[in-house]
Amino acid sequence: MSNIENNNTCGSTCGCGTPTDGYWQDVENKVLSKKELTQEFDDNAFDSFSVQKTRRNFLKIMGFSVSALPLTGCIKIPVRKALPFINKQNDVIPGVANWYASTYQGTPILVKTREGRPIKVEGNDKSMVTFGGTGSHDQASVLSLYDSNRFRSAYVSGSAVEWDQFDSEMKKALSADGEIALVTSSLSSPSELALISELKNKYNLKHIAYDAVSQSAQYDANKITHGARVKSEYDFEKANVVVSIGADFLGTFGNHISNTKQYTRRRSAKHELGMNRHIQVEGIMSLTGSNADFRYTKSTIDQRDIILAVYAALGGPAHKVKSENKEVAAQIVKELRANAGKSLFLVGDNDVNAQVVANKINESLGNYGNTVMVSQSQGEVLASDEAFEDLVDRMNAGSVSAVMFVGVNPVYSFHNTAKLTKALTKVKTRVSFALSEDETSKACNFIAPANHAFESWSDTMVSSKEVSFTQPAIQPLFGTRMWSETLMKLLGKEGSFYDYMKGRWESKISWNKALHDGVVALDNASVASATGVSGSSYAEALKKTKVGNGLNIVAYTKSAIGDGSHSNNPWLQELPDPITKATWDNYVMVSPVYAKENSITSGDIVELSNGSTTVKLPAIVQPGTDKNTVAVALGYGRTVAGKVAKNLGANIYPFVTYNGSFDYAGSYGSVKKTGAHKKLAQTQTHHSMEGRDIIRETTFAEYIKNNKAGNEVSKPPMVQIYPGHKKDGHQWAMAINLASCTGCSSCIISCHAENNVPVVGRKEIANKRDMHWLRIDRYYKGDENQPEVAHMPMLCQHCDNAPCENVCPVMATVQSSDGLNQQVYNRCVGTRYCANNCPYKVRRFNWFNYDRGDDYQKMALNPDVSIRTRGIMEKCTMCIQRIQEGKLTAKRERRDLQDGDIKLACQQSCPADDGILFGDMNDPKSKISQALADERKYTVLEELNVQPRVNYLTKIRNK
Amino acid sequence: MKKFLGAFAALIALGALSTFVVLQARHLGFNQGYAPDQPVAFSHKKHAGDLKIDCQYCHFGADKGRHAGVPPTGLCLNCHSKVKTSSPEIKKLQNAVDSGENIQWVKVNHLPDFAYFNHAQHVNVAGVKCQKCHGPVETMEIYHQEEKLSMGWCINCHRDNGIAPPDGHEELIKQYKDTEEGYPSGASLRKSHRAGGDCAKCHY
Repeated sequence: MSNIENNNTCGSTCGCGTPTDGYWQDVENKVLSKKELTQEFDDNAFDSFSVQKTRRNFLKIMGFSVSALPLTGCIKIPVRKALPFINKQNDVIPGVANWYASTYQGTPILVKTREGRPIKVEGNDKSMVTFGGTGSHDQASVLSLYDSNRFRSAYVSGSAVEWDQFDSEMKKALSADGEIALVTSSLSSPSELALISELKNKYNLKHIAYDAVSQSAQYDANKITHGARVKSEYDFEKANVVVSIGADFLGTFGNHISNTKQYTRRRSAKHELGMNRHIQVEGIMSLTGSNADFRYTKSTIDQRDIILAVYAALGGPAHKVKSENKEVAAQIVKELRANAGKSLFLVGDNDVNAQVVANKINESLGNYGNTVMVSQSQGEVLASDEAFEDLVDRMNAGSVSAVMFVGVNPVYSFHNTAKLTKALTKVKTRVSFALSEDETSKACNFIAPANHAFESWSDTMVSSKEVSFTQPAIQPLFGTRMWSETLMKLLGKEGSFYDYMKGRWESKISWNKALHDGVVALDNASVASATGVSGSSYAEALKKTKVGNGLNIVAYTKSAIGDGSHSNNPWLQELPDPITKATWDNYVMVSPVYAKENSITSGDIVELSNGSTTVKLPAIVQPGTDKNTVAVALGYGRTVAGKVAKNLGANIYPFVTYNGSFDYAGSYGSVKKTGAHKKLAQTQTHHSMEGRDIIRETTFAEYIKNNKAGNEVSKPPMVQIYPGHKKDGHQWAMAINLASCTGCSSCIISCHAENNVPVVGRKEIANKRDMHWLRIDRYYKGDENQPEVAHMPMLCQHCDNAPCENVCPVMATVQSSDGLNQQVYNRCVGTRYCANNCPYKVRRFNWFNYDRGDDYQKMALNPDVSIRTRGIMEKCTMCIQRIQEGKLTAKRERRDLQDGDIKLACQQSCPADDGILFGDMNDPKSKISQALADERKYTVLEELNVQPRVNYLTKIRNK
Repeated sequence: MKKFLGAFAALIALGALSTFVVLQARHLGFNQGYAPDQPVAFSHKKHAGDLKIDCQYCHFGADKGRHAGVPPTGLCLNCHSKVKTSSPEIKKLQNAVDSGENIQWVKVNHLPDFAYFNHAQHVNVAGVKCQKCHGPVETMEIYHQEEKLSMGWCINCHRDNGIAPPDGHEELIKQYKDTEEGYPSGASLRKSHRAGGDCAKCHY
């Protein structure tokens, strides 16, 4: 096994001796078998072609082709029907998009509809919380809307009923005096909460909030230290130093979109306060950890040790830190002390003691009011693990007469399913408000299917200072009803929930403007002040953390799949994980050290057991994993779900433990090899830069001294045989800021939705035939146990001297006069020469007519982009349809195109600050021309002189 | 000699067949002159010709978006709820509106899915008259497809008007001066009208 000895020169592989800045030559030698290394194609790569290759079949196909040719002269065009509207719909003009401001799961969004169908989601840039950023869930929500697995009607005891009948039966069932439990996820809708409190007056109702992936401990800690059970709100932009102990704040912790926006603003070396410094201590490689300036791989226990050591140095009780953690703790303390009041200390652990200590550390640094805020929101009920455990006990004792589940699926996601299932049998009335059949709705006798967010009215507190309204963009597709409407019916209220909500807001805000803008800033949040409680007892309790025997089993959350509620979405399943680049699976992440000791290679099926539960999953050797830790993603192993999610991977929730709050890292157990092997569907299996300076980087200190640091590579003399292109008029270019990009992958889903990119499925991904027009390459550097990571979005580079163009025999790919590399589908005959000749490997070939889903899912297609058929090459078009639309709008308004008029799909969805810039490089005032003049600008594989239009800005680490 | 004659005849036959196939195949997909029967005997001559109703009264999308649009049935009744209500053809319209079962018009002008065409670009921005592409609609009792609507036909018009290739701005400017609003300056026109001859102008 070659290691990283050949740190500075490209050694064994190609012998070219080029400096590589320490990036790994080949991860493969570390984590892949020799077979996988040498074999480009799988043995079964061609199995997908189902026609048997016999002489008979060959003749059949040949004979058909020959005889079909003369027939062309006789073909008549089929009669096509044109169906107009019966009556003109207000505001609907065929071919013109309408936009509605709305909210999806706490993210302010704009929904683009065409002829009444939602087809795309964009961030709402009026929001002062997310600033137009979106996450991959928000982008993929369009496809969930058209999920044909959704319920088509209400059900009572297994039979479909009309809503009137449902209401009367439900009223009958709820009339008893017994306790009614309403279980929702963390709910931050003031109007829905007001409705619930009215319901409390009528019934003996208890509202319990339950999150499958919970941050309950943080809310409890805030109650202890600040007297208010609320979320902590952060301002990363004010933090010079961010220390995160296991908190994946860019991926899954808190409001990751707003976190990313604020955080990446301070990753800019040009920010007036300078660049921030980010220290991450964690047991497994998270998206956040991959962006850290200093990342330390530490087990759960060591993380707590470090928390205590830092607290000891900042006013807490004395703590004897382990010798291996001393240095890390000292560095953290030094950085925090130097930036008191301008730093942020985050803990990801869902443990009250750890969270209280974290709060006390922030308190003693004076961070409250600067970088951390604890404010009472207008209306918010946050998840409480304890309350839900109590409920299960009460149900088991038979004291609950009815239970209602809204947007939660505890039968799947509760750690002790057997106990919950037994408890449910003792509850007479069980109501599910699920969108489609899930594990919990299956255990319910009343099913009141709720609407998708795009069919609903609601209001959401996205922060304590901003409310975002949800307004429908389409009529309910499937005869479902908003869950709040069902509550209205229970209360016997006249009118709709819309009227109710409007009545509550109308006097406070301008209603129509609020619906137009989507968001309204509120300034009446009251800041909670510290209670002054001592943290010592909590620190003492934290010291006494029980350590089990064997490997620490961590149940983590993938940014795409989340808690499993989105797992029936094929876009999200096919989205490569930002770190492992694996799709369609969960797997056991093991450290390289453990893998070597136990001769495990990626793809080996292992048996993971904590004594009571055993699952069989493929292993993946993941650099940056603690050697005594294994990690598996939550959200898989659904047993009652649509065809995408059903039986995919294994359910890891049974490994979650409970000690006052859900502990996602509290299980200990063993890993055993089974001898079986399963090929993982990874989109990146080659990790080497092959000695080329694909990613250029520098440190902040170097950059201050010399803005060109890291980018000083001398250009070889550029000679070309082509005359070159005229560069007048608009000339499009893109710049990707590697210092900003966190690798979150929201752009990939956005591109998917915008450009009708097909889903190809697990098998085809494993055959290396993924279709993503935009991918994010991930490279490692340094020690494989705590490597440095770099993310690089890679898409068609739109070269001026494009190598694909001169090998196309049919001129299907040509340069446009505004500098784009065009792919003309109707000329393409599928020779794939272009893909072979592309140095960036960004071209995608349609090996099949890929399944676009059923008639419902086809409604999510963008009507402005062709559906590519089998045998066609495709790739990033730079969202040419958006460029066209922007130009046309400008022309219709008789004006020049302004910088920022055209935003590409990837650019729009990017939650990072100026992560992707696009514009006219001939316009000297445009943001893009300024970026191109930046000394950090470079192009990938410059030495080929292909002159890409996609430029990169060097990565800067603040080391 | 006889042997050669046979071969020669076969060759000619093959040549004739191929020529036929090629000539036929060239017209594949073009429907010039297509004038199908419509479910309602609507006369463009009557409405657009004799009564001089503006094209965009019914095809109101032409100015705003990609599709000119088949008018909503209710729009016909703007007049026909009062005019000629007893006609069996008008009753079809009234029935459609009352029953919700819409009239299925037969589509005449058809472009393949991979060709993007925008009416607003031509009608609103360029001020092209409808008749330029659709022929003398105001004289058509039964509407038919006047032009070939082939790619070559599109390109030729763009060439003739100096829109593609991108040189020839002068002519364009001249054309714009004829439109009502005109443009603030020739420079801005030049800049935003570039790329007229690119494939990805229509194919994406």
